[in-house]
Amino acid sequence: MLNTLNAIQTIPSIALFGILIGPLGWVANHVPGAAALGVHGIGAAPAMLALFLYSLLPMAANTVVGLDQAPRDVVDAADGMGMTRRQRLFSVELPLALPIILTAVRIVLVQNIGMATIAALIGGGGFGVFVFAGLGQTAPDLILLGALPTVFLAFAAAIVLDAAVELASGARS
Amino acid sequence: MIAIERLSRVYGSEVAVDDVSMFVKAGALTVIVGASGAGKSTLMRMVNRLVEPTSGRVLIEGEDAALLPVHELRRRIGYVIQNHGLFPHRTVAQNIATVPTLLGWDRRRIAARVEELLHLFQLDPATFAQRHPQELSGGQQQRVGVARALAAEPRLLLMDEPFGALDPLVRGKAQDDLKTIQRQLSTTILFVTHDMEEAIRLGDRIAVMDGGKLIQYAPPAEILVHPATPFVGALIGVGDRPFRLLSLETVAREVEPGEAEGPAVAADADLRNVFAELLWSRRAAAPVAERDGRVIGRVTLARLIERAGTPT
Repeated sequence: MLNTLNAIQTIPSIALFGILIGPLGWVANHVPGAAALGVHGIGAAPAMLALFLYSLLPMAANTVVGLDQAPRDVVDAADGMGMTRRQRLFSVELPLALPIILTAVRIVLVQNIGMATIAALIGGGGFGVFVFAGLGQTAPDLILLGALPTVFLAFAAAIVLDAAVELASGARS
Repeated sequence: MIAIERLSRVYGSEVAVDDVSMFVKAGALTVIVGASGAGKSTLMRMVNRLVEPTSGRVLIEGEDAALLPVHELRRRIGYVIQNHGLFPHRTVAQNIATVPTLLGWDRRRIAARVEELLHLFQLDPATFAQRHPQELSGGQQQRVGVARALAAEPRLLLMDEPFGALDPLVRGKAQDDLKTIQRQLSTTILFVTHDMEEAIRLGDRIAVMDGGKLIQYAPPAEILVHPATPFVGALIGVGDRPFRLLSLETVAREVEPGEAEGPAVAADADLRNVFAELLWSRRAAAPVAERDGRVIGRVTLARLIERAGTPT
């Protein structure tokens, strides 16, 4: 499964936005009610879907690594004391993996905030609209109007999640 | 009480445990000793079914362990491992409360039990209850590990090289504490170690394993005096034999009336330590005193030498 996600990650973002126009357009036209829900070939739907696909790999990969790194002794003790697999997962392995999973959330969030500007190209809106309008008219102030808030958002997200990671791992050191 | 009946575990072509039968008396501390790879951990792990037997069965208090739901079985059995396996994201109190919580005890009962155990293991609740395991020393972590295993008042406790990672001084203290606590609670304990010294010090009975087979199962004195095979003899170490034999008894039984020079030895000291003390202080005898300082007689070097040889 991670291999499929790896493959998705290698598709350039503009290309992925483009690729999704076809199938989503088809869905919008052929599945009753889809269009009413906001599914279109262009616009926010393909943008959201693409960002979602890009976030899958870091999330899945880190969750796997995080669950895997629970110390063997701790897992053995959990089993030996009579936890069910489910109890072991939720009360031991997941809490221990939390810092690593949150790190993935941070990566994905910062990455997606940047990538979301490109969604403007397929009518997804967002700060990218200003950036691309500015590029088209060679108007640096317009470009900055789109770019600065994006950078600011990314920074803010990074700081907040760094704090969350710190909090999650700080609870046991 | 555990009855192990013709228990075997096979991994592929390798026989880890080979047709072992043994009976562990209720309230006894039984030590399984052997080299690494002898199958002792596998044998123990079949009792709480962390390893499922290939053949044979385990009866706990007369009940076939294989017929109980595995989680219920394990919650009834305390389990301690070498590196304590404490949950790093939980406090000491939460760690100790693990099994009672799984069993659905109410909160007040759990809190009371945690406090009782912290006292029993000489860990001040005010200081330690809210700490995380990483903030404790190795010896304290191990004590919390044992406390956690005893939390739900199990009749049976499995210990897999629990003191292996402790330095010698802390280890000796941990062994003494375990003995004391076991006498207090009269829990049946199955204890795995590769260290014969530890086995002799702790065990009411010792089971020696080699190559997956149970070679000898007897009280320590009998293992020392009549090792069943040369392998058991090698484990004991011929050079240490007299001293290990001495270490099994306390002075109290060898006291004779009379006077002696020099500082007194404690009545509950083991004979080996007293022997060493007499040799070191170049005395032929020493007064023996109770804990409260009252002298109850003396112990002589000649008597100890008599006791150190094979019984005739």
